[in-house]
Formats: sequence, structure tokens, C-alpha cells
Amino acid sequence: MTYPPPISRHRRSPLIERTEPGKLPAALLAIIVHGAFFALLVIGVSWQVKHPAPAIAELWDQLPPIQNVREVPTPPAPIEPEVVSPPKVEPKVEKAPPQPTQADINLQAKRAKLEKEEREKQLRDEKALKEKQKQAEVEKKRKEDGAKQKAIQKIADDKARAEQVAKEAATASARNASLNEYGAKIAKLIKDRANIPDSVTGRPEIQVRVKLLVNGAIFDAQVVRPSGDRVYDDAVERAINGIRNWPQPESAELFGGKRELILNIRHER
Amino acid sequence: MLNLSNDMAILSLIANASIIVKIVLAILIVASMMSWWYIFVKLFSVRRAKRQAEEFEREFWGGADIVGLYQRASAGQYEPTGMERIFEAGFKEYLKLKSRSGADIGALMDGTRRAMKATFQRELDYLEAHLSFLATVGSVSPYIGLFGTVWGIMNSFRSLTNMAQATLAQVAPGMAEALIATAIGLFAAIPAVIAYNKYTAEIDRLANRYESFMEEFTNILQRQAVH
Repeated sequence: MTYPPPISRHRRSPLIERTEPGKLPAALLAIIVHGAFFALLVIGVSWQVKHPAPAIAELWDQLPPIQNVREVPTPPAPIEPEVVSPPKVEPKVEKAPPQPTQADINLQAKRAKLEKEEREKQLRDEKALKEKQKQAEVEKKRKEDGAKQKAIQKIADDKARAEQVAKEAATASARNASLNEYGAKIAKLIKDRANIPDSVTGRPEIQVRVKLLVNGAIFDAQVVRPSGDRVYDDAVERAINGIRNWPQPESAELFGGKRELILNIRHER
Repeated sequence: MLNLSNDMAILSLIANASIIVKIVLAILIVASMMSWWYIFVKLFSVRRAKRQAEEFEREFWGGADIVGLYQRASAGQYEPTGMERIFEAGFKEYLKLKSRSGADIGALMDGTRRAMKATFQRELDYLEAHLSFLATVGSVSPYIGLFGTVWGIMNSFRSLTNMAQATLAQVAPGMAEALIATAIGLFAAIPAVIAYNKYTAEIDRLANRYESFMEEFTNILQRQAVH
């Protein structure tokens, strides 16, 4: 059995460099795998990071005014002018003298009637006049009363205001005192907590600005004036960060508008 | 400024690591990249070799004309691989020796077998290329990661020397950043070892298949040579 001679138009060397297929897709897939791995790593780690729950704080420009329950003298109700009814003047009917004659009687009756009418008219006028006078008097009295009332109220107001100022000053000084006390308490706490390395010598002093929340928790602390000793500063910072339970201020109104304390902490070595 | 909440995000941890730890991380990432690249390259090439072996076996045992198969393989229109290449090399040698008169059958079959064996070795070498890299990454990168971790922890403890009282908070970030090195080392090593074992087993099976094909083909040629 014979075979046709080998057909080999292209002489192929057995040592020919062979490239592996799919190098580019492989590279892309490798990059995708690593991207997924790092995404997993980043997400997996950031899941475990527990951010402290946000503290909600109301921002006040200034303290709410201290509730000063002060009795404002209410202006007395204007006295209703009593309408004094003028005494009724009983028209005295003069007894007519005995009537001697009919004519006389007639005349006399006429005259009496006239007289009576005249007198009644006079009386009416008098009464009207009196009434007018009385009304004017009442009016005047009322006016006077109002002025007096106003004056009284003004005096009372001034007094109350002065009292309030004094009270505020008193509360401010009391607040200052308790603020200082509170600051001292915190400074002492920090001082006690700080573990000062033995390498720190002398009398280092550090000034720290501490910002507080309403409940007294510290949310920020900043070194205002470092002591110059890095190790000491670090130790104080660590102490501040390490304290979890801060003493509560006596009242939320202890601080003024800015809730911050400047603390001087000093150690003697 | 004191930050009261310690940010433990992974990127800041890596950014704050010491230079040695960073170098270790860089080496590990490069090793991991390359090993994954080879994992995918091998995945493609082994899969293709398996597929082509199956196709060729089906054709060969499906009653196709041997000369026709040889002409197609040696026509140079495509690069035959694996089993087809072995077949081509063996049959070419067989034809060459057969065309020379006076060669006895023993010498003829020996030459054919040697030609096929050489191609087989070359094919195997091609399939096994870079597998040693995967083995190296698999065995060495945990140690590299461990080195980075040890170094990072060493540094993080050394920074405690000036402290009067050591707390966990002072060493924790350093430890975390150091342990990232081990994590990446393991991330590089585990897939590399798995891939190495998988591909070694698959290539072994392919090699067995090639060898049995060679034996069977030798038998066929021998039967034809006797005629």
C-alpha cells in the first residue's frame, strides 16, 4: 500500500512559538475578580465600622429667657361712674288758701297753676344743671384716676425690671460659679485619667477647648495651647478620648450660647 | 484635633501602613493578578485542548480517511493542536520512513513512535506552562503576607514603647492594617492552589488520553505496514 507524498506547503517547525488562546479575556477576567475582591473587602470592613449614633442638638442663638413669674399689676378696671340719680324734689304743692269767691277761686287757681308750672320748669332746669355738673365731676375724677394708675404701674414696672436685672445678674454669677465648678470637675477627671509617661518632667500645662453637648457629653476636644511636650499632649488627648462617662452639668442652661469650656490641665512631676 | 470616631475604613488603613507593608501588599497584588490571569488562560487552553481531543477522536474513530485527516492537518490552514498534532507528526514520520525502501517494520514503528512521543512531550509542556507559577504563588504568597503582618504588628507594638499605659486602641489600627497583608496573601494563594490541582489533574487525564491514542494509532500503522 502506497501513500501519496506528504503535502506540506507550509513547513511547520515543531519549535514554533505557540501562543495561548484568550490572553486578553483572561486579563480582563482577572481584573474583574480583583475588583470584586476589593469591593468585598471595602464593603465588608466598612460594614463593621459602627458610626456613633448622631447626636441631635438644637441650636439656640441664646438662652431662652429665664421664666420670671412676676406679677404685673393689672390696671384696675375703670370705675364705672355711678350715675347718681338726683334726689327727686317733690314739688311742694302749697296749699291754696281758702277760696273766698268763685272768681277768686278761679283766679287763684289760674295763678296757682301758672305758678306751679313756672316752679316746675325752674326745678327741671335746676335738675338738668345739677346733672351736668355731676357728670363733669365724674369725668374729671376718672381722668385723675387713670393718671394715677399709670404712674403706679410705671413705678411697678421699673421696680420689676430692676428686680429682673438683679436676678439675672445673680443667676449669671451663680451660673459662672457653677460653670467654673463644672470645668474644674472635668479638668480633674481628665487629669486623673491621664497616664503621664515617666519621660515627662517639669510642670507641663496644657489648655484644651472642650465642646459639649446639652447632656454634657463631649463631642470635640481641641488643644488650644500645647504644653510643648508632645508625649504629654498625647497622653492628655488619650485621656479625653478614653473618658466615656462625663459628669453631667447641673442644668442644661449652665452654659451660655457657646457650649464650650477652656480647661487648663496641669501636672506636677 | 481629636477625632473621636476612629475611622477603620480599609483604604485609610492601607494608606497609613508602613512602607514595608505597602511593598508586601503591592507584591501580593501583582502575584494575585498574574495568578488569576494564568488561571483564566489555563482554563481556556485546557478546555480547548479537551474539546479538540474529543472532536479529533470522534473523527478518527468515526471512520474518516487517515490520509484525508493528515492532509487537512498538514495543509497549514490552521494550527493543529493536541491529539491532531501528535497524529500529524507520527503519520509524517511514518510516510517518510515508509517511502525509503529497505526499512524493516520494527525500525519503521520505532521511528513513528518516537516522533509521536516528541510531539506529545511538547504538547504536554505547552499545556503545563505557567502551572508552576500557580504552584509558587499558592505556596509562597501566604508567607509573604505573613511577613507583612509580622512587620506591621512589630511596628504597632514598637509605637507603644513611649506609652505609660498600653491600651488595645493604640495597637488595633496597626494590627488591622497588618492583617490585610495576610488576607491578600490568602486571597492570592487559595485560588492558585485550587487551580493548580485542578489543572494538573485535567492535564494528566489529557496526557493519558494522548498516550492511549498514540498506542492505538501505532497499532493501526503497524497493521498497515505489514500489508
